[in-house]
Amino acid sequence: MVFADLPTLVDIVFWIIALFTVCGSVAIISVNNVFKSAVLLALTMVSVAILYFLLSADFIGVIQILVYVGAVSVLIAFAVMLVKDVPRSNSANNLINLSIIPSTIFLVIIAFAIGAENWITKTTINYEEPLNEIVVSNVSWIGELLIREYFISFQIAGLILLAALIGALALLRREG
Amino acid sequence: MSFQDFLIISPEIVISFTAISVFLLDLFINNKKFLVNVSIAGLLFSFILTLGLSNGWLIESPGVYAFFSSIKLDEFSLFFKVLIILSGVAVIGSSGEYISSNIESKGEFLGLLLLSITGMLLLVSSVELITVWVSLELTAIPLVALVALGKNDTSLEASLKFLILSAVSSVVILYGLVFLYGYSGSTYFNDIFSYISSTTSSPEDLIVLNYGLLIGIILLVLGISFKLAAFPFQMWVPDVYQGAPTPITAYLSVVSKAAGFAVLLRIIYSVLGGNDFSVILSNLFSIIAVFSMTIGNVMALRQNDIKRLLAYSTIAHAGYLLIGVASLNISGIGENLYSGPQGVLYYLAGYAFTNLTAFLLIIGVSKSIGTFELSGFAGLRKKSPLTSFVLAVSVISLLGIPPTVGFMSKIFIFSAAVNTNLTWLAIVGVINSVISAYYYLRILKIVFVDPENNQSEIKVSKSISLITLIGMIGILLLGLFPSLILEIAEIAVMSIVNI
Repeated sequence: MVFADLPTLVDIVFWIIALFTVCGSVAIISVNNVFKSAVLLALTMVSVAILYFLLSADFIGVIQILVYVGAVSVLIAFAVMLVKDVPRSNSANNLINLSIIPSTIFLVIIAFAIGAENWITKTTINYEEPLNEIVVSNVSWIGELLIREYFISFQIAGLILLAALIGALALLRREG
Repeated sequence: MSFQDFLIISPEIVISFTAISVFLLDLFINNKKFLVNVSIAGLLFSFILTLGLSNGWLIESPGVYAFFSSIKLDEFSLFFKVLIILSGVAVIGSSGEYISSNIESKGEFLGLLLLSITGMLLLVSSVELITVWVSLELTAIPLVALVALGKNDTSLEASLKFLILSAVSSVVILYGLVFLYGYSGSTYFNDIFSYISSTTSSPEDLIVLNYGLLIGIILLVLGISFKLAAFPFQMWVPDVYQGAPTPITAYLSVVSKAAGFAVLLRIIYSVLGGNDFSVILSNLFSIIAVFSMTIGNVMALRQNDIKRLLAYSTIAHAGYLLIGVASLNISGIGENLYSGPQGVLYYLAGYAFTNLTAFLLIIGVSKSIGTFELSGFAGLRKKSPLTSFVLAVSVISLLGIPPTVGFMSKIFIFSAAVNTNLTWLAIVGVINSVISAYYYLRILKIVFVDPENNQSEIKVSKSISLITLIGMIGILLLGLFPSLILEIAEIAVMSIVNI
């Protein structure tokens, strides 16, 4: 569908960023140094965020950068620095040749499924405001969904955070 | 959101508030026995609320939606809620002594267990993809910490394995949900169902045109197999069951499995409904069932640790249960349309009694003999005749010999398979039952025939004795009068079927 007409600027940007994301992901798992992996992870996450921007999901894009680049990657980098000798201890995995076969099969199946499917491009959620306004400010729209349609999921997510927090504290006490 | 919405999830609200109050009371109260009582009181209160919901005291009748159709209260979810809450009462009620001697963070242990139960209750009643996924996470994350709360180092290792595999399976499920959403444009089961029925006319159409739907469902089933402890996500089971604190092992083997089957059945019958799409699904479940049964039974043959042995046995039982799931009535005509899922519900109820009895007895006995090795159980008959009798009843039920519930549930599952032209699958199931006789009877031989090799005195605490006796009565009662559960199971299954 992309090549039906001449590619627009958005298409060109999309393909460049997509290529960048895939190469970055492959690089994360192929470098031996954990610290380099963390940096590459941050870069890949930024390019994923750009993909979100291209889909006009700017709020998700910003959150992606804040959480994954700002918090997760930095946390990994800290963990690597605090633990002795980790950067050099990540030896190459000797199952790498074996793992190529199932992952290739999986890739082919997924690519085939994505290519063959007639994807639906609208959602059944009833918008209260016109679509172009939602695209302009999807923060308020997401907020509204969270306390309306997805109220219960939102509350359960709170319980998950509580469980994770208490669980982590209990484990810390066990160590001490 | 009206007041009725909150009434519908009142059992879950009560249990989650009990969990939070256990966390808080833990800070001020030194008598940890009190926390166990608070947890049980909370569970029993929510059990009463569940009964109220089913009898029309709180709402007019089951079959209502809540929170913008994310939650549905029907007979199916009520069946599983009762099963889960009562199993939770049994696990917490009998583990008071275990907790006080083996667990350091007692309040956290109870609170996290209650949070996980909350997740299970929400899971069995959710009819929306995001709610399903978030509830699945709420069941899994407390369990990761709970598995790690044991005192030995194997517990930490088990927890790490559980964490990684649970994350992988969650991602696989999420990938499947994305395909379902992309295919239908909705996250609500009913909308997906009507979209599938409106866009497809013949079975050939459905299979050829909708690879996205097919891949989505396959990924979803594979991911849920982690919860079921079935192939291909079964490799965590032996290590985690062995390393986890034994009450958590009992909880995992019964409640986690039941909730997994609830989601699976709801997705098959509410989302895909009477579609001919189920031919492919039936094949998929058959394959998973055969692998789970065979791997579980063959690997169990050589085990010497009773927790590991029962872990492989639960993999095999997941396989038997999946035979019932695979028995989809494809033609849609004839009697006993839903004998497969009915059998699954009956099997799960019986399995809860059987496995909880076995695991709780193991908690009691292993505390006295100080080991989980099978050889430690030698001569148990002389030391404690009643304990060995109850253990024998539960092992016989696991093996499937009359008059126990294990026998009747295998009968129902296998006859459902024969009714739906899956005779070969029933035969594989029977062969596997024969293989399993070797290791189940070996337990009985060790308990009843072998001479005792240590002088330890067997002292089983009162709560464990009481609960396992109730369990034994349940095993025999349900085995002799299967209609007690089957009639409820039939109503429950009918309430989720979309036609």
